[in-house]
Amino acid sequence: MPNKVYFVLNRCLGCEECRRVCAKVHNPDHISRNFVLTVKDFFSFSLRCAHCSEPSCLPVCDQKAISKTEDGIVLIDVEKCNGCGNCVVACPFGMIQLDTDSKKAVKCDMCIDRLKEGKEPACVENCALSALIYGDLEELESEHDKEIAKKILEVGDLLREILATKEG
Amino acid sequence: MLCKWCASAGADLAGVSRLEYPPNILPIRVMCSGRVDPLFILRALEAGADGVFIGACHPGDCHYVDGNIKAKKRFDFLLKILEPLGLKDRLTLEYVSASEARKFKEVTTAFTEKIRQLGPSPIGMNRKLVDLTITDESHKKQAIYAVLKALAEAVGYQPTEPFIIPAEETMEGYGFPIRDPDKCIGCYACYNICPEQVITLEDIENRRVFGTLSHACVVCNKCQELCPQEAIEIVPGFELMAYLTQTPIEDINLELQQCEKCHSYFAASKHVEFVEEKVQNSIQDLHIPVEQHGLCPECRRKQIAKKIQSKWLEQAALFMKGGG
Repeated sequence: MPNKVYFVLNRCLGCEECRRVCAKVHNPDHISRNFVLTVKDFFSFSLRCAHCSEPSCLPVCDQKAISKTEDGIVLIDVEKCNGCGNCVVACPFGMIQLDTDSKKAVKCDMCIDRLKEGKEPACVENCALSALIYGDLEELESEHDKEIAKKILEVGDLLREILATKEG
Repeated sequence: MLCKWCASAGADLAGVSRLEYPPNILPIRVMCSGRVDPLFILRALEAGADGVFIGACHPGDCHYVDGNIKAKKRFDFLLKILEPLGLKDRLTLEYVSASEARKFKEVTTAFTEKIRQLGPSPIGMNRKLVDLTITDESHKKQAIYAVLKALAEAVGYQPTEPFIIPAEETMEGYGFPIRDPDKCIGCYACYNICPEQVITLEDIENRRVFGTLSHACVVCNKCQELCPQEAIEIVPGFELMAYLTQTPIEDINLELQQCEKCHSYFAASKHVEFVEEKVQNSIQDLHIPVEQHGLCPECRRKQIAKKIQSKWLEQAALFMKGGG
């Protein structure tokens, strides 16, 4: 399994720090590739491109601007992109946007420049609650599964209680 | 404006031969009538000239092979443009050779007579001229349009319908995109590639309307080369109304797809069909946890979030059971 950004349930508070930091890192458009959605005003999720193993955005691109690297990252070549919006319509998760200024499609590139420098993606590094983790799924599971998974849920429940009392 | 080699020499000869020609013309000697830019003529009219006379060599006599032929072509094109503005009669182009002093006298006298009957220029002398400073971004056409706009304002011309000059009568370098309504699927490619914002796109209620600001087209052919459906073609032509009124001329309008959840319109129906067919053809089994058909990107994200939330609750319930 390639390395990916994973989202840990229960940890996200919906602070949107991942969105802010993503917009900051991605020059020059300053558009966040992350989405924070809140369901029933309570459950927050930070979502981004899943870098699908078989992406539906890839075959629809007439310019062949979308490619999948060896590391499993689905990338849009800005030079080739013509801004037709095919991929925006094709993405089943709605994770591709059309930048109205540069007139190109933008999506999560897993901070490929930062990865080359040996850093983690910006959203992962800046998530205050470590709701986003970067790595190989199987490794992460074996590391976190038994001990941490319990804690994750406990911590999450605690936070939920705190939040609930505050709101109530 | 007189060509150095023929008309200007003809005027000289007229003077030397003591032939009297109208004293109220202002001869400007140019190296060739081909040098007479449409902008020169427009600028003269804008500055308040009552008429513009161009003296060229006879066809075939040009010192620079075909300068006068080019001048004639551009001149005819300009006449077409100035016709609706009512300034057509104030321009003339005559072939006068260096030896035709008598002809020079005749044509200039006739021309001044004609102008006298038309009366003074409606544009007036005391106008503040349009700034034509050349910058990196501006180009020749913009200057021509700027002066044309000033002229149209001065004569009070307000176009109500597209004024199109057919391809065969258009000067080289003028053209605009036309769209094949059967082929266009309503994606953003041409709209996004156009460097001059010639192609406009607007979603009005349930229709996506493509328009053309044809005057701004620089005939770079980018849209024609790019269009994935080969629906666009750049044709030579000229259109004046779009510029003077600053409103795009509607090309086609396409039906928009409505999101089944939030009922907003997000993409052209044909575009959605096209993309879905392409995905189906290339990917056999698409693993998507929820049904996303007919939803806008935003609702797709919401659907996914809801799915995760329900998964989460399931897990939490399992954990509570196990933990006890």
